[in-house]
Amino acid sequence: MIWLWLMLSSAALGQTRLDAAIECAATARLMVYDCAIALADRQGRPVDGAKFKLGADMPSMPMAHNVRPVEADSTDAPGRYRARLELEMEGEWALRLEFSAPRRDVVVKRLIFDDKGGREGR
Amino acid sequence: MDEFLIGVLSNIGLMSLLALSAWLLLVVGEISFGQQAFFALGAYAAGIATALYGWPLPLGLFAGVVVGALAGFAVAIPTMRLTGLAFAIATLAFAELMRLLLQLWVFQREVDGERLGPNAVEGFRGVRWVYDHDLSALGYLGVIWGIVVVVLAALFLCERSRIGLACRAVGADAELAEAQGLPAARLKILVATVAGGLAALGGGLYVHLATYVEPQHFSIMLGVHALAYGLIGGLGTALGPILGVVLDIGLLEALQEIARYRMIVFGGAVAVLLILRPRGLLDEALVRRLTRGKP
Repeated sequence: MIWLWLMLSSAALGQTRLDAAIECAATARLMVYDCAIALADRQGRPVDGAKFKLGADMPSMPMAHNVRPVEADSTDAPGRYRARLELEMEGEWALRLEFSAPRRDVVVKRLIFDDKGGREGR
Repeated sequence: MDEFLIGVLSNIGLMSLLALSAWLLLVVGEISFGQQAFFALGAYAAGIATALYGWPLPLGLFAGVVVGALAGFAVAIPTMRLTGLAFAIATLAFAELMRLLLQLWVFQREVDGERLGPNAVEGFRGVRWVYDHDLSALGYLGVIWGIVVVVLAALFLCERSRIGLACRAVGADAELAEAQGLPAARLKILVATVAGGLAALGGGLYVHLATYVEPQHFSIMLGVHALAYGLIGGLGTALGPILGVVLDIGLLEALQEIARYRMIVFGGAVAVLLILRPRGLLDEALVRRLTRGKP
């Protein structure tokens, strides 16, 4: 049944995509980072009222490091959100923003984490 | 169901397909460090089919399987003359060659005003079929495990068939099997082709879950883990590699206190198991005892 449904559902629901810039600062707790997220649409306009969770996976060993996704909180600044993330180790991580509003979508950003924080690498 | 749990179970299912592909080659007596290459080919092929050309997911996955199986066949033809360490090194060389080629490969198209497709080291982003078609995480977990169950059922049936028995005979002693009239080389090529397709199926499912892949995903780490899962779980049954995946990703993930040291624990567990149970927890002897109900 699932296969039949998948075969028949051909109309995509794709619309304007979201983009994000992320910077994370190390906290006093080991491997815990405070992440600031700037959310915009493709025209660069800040996106407010988004609901999303921030998760992470290690590109060098996909599927092996399962980080519990955390809910991002909105701030007073337009298009700005924050989330506290706990990782397993330093190195390159692919942060995954899983949106439930304004629509279901996902944005992936790669950051390199060290003892100071996480910055977008490539 | 908790989102985190859905994510972990999805990863276990996807890794199981890759582990099963490495296990298939172990059954015929070959060690492959290169199954991640077929996983990559499946991911790129299925992603291109759905994201760039708008194919439905099942067709995209099928395209990935075909590409992976053809690559498995193409690699098997020259490498089946090799055995043991030489075969293992050849598969590793192929996987690294594929990864380096993907680091150079650019193939993009404009889709809905956005440039999509493989973009060298930047990887392949925007494989959003699951999101564009509003398939929930739980629904996609059902798709993944539905496929894993079908694959397992097929492998169980195959194990009880003449081909399955012949594969076991080739794995035990290829020369002896040939002396008894079994086409060892042809069987190995067939298994390598199926294993390539199976790994590619996992890759196709993975890219649609992650929505992006990059060449770095397909490093030797992934191949070593896929192989280790079979060796930990056991070579006696297709449930072996799945047990290996569950022990690593599932059990160690549940023990959050040691999650940070998981790679060390995992490496140690592989070393100890290879000494104590060289053919894994569910090895052939244990499976025989369990299925016959004798001590």
